[in-house]
Amino acid sequence: MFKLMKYEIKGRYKTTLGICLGILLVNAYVFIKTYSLPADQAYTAVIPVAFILIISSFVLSLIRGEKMYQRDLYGDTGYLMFTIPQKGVSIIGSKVLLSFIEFILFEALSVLSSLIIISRLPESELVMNLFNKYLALATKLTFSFMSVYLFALVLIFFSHSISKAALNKNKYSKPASALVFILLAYTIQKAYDFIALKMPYTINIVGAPVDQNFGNFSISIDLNIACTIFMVLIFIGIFMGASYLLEKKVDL
Amino acid sequence: MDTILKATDLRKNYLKKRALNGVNIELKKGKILGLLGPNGSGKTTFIKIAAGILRSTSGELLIDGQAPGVYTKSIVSYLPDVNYLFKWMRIKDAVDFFNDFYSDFSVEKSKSLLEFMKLNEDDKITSLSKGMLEKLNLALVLSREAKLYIFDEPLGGVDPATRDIIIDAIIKNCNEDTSMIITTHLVRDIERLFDDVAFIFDGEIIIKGDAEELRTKSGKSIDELFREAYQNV
Amino acid sequence: MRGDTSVEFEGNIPIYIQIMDMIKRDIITKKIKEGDKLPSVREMADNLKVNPNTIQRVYQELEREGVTFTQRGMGTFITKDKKVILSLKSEMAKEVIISFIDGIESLGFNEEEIIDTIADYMKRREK
Repeated sequence: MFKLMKYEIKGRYKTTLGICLGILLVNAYVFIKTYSLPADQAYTAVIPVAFILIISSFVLSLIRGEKMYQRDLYGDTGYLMFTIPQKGVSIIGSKVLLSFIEFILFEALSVLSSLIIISRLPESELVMNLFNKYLALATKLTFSFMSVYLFALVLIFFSHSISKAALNKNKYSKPASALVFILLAYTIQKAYDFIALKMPYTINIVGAPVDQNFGNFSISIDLNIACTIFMVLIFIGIFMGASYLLEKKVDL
Repeated sequence: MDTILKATDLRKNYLKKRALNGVNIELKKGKILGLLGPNGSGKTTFIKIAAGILRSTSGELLIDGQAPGVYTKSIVSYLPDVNYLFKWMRIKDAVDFFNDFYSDFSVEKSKSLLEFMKLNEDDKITSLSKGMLEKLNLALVLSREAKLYIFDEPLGGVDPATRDIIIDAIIKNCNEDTSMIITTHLVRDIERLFDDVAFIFDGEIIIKGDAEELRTKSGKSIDELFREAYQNV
Repeated sequence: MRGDTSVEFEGNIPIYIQIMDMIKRDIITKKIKEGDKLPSVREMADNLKVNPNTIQRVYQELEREGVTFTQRGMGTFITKDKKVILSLKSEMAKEVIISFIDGIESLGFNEEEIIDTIADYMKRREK
C-alpha cells in the first residue's frame, strides 16, 4: 500500500505543493491588506477568508481524491494499476490515506496561517480567549469534520466501484455513482438519527489537560456510543465493499 | 503443472452483445499460442479476462490452476494495446514501478532490453513516439520472469523495422518455461513464432491446432488460412 | 550456421521441415562438415528468428533420421557416418531430379534425349 502511495505522490506532489503555496499566498495577501486596519474591519476580512479556505480545502481535497480513483477506473492507467498483484484494500487504502493526508495538510495550513494572521491583529487576545472558551466545541467540530471527510471520500469510492461494476459504460456509470452516493448518504444519515434517538447513551471522553497561557483546562467530548459504533462499522463496510468490488467485480 | 492456461466454455455477455460465446482453449507450458481474429472478434475480451481486468459471465478460465486474481497477476505479464503508463513518468520511473510491484522483475534485464530498443531511461514518457512506447512497454513486460506472457496486438501501429525488433525481442525471451499468448491480425510477420494457433470469430473458436500441422494438412501458410477463414464467415 | 538477417520462410510448408532442408543442404555442400557441432537451440532460434520449439523439433527429427546425434551436456553434432551423408545427398538430389524429369518430359523429351542433352550441356559448361 505504501509503495502505491509513493507513486501517487510522485505524480501529484507538484500540484499539492502548489495548493499549499496558494493557501499561504491568499493569507499573506489578506494579512498585507488588513494589518493596518482597525480590528472590526480586519476581522471581517480575515475570518471569512479563513472559512473559505477551510471549506475550499475540504472540497478541493475531496475532488482530487475522487479523481485519483476515477482516473484509474476509467482511464488507461487502470491497465497498469489493476494488473499489478495488489489487493483491492491496498489500492483503495493507498488513495484514501493519501487524500486524507493532503486534506489534513491543507486544513492545517489554512487554519494555522489564519491563526497567525489573527495573532498579529489588534485585540487578538480577545479572539484567542473566545477560541479557548470554545475549544471543546472546536475540537469536536474538527474531529467531526475529519470524520465527515473520510466518510465522504470512502463513500465516493464505493459509489464509483459499484456503478462501474454494474454499468461498465462511462456515460451512465458516472452519473449513477453520484446517485448512489446521494442515496447512501441520505440513508446513512437517517439511520444515524434513528440510532441516536433510540439509543441515546453517550460516553464522556476527557482529554489530557492542556496548559495554555490562558489557564488550565481539559477537553471533554460527549460521544454517542451506538452511533459511533454504527459509523465505524458502516465505514469499514463501505471501505471493504469498495475494495471487494474493485478486486472482484469491476471490468475495465 | 503441464497446462498453463485452460479456458472452459468461457462466456462474456454484454447487454447488447455476446463477446465470448463458449471458448475452449488449452495452452501447455512452454508453448506460444497465436490468437488470431479480426477486430471485435473477442480476442481482446479473452485476453482481458486472462489478465484479470474483466470478469467472465460464465465458464472457467484457469491460469496455473487458479482463477484470475492477485496470484495470477503476479505470474502473468500482460502487454495491453494501450499506453498505460503515467504521463508524469520517465522511463526510469516505469522501471522502478515494475521493480517495486513485480517480484519477478529483473532490473538488469530491463537495462539490456532498453539498450536493445535504443531507449534512454531519462526520457519522459510523453516525449516518446508511438513506436518507442510500444518498444518500452514490451521491454518492461519482457523484463519479468513470468510464467505466462500475454501480448495484445504487439505489432499494431508500428513501422516494419520496429516490428522486427519487437519480434526479435520476443524470440530472445523464449525458453522452455515461457508460455505466451499473442493476439494479432498481422499474421504474416509473426506466424513463424506460433506453436499453436486459434482463430476466433464472433466470440467462438473456429479453427485451432498445431501451427505446423495446419500447414502440412492444408498446404497453406497460417496467414493464408486466416484470410480464407474470415472471407468465408 | 547463419548469423545474419532474418531468413524468409515459405508459409505453406512447415517451418521445421524447411530448416531441416537448409541444414541438410549445408551438410551436402560441405558448409557444415561431419562431426561439426550445431548451434544451440537458442542460438539457432535467434539467428533464424523462429520459435525455439521449432528448432527443438528440427533437432529431434534430424536425430531421429540419424543425421545428427546429441551428446549430453555438449550439444548436437552432425553424424560422422559417411554413409548417412551420402544417402542424404542422393535423397535431396532425388527430389530435384524428379521435378526436373517431370518438367523436361512434359516438353516431350524421351530418356535418350534427356541424357544426351544433359551430357552436352555439362561439356559446354566446363569451357
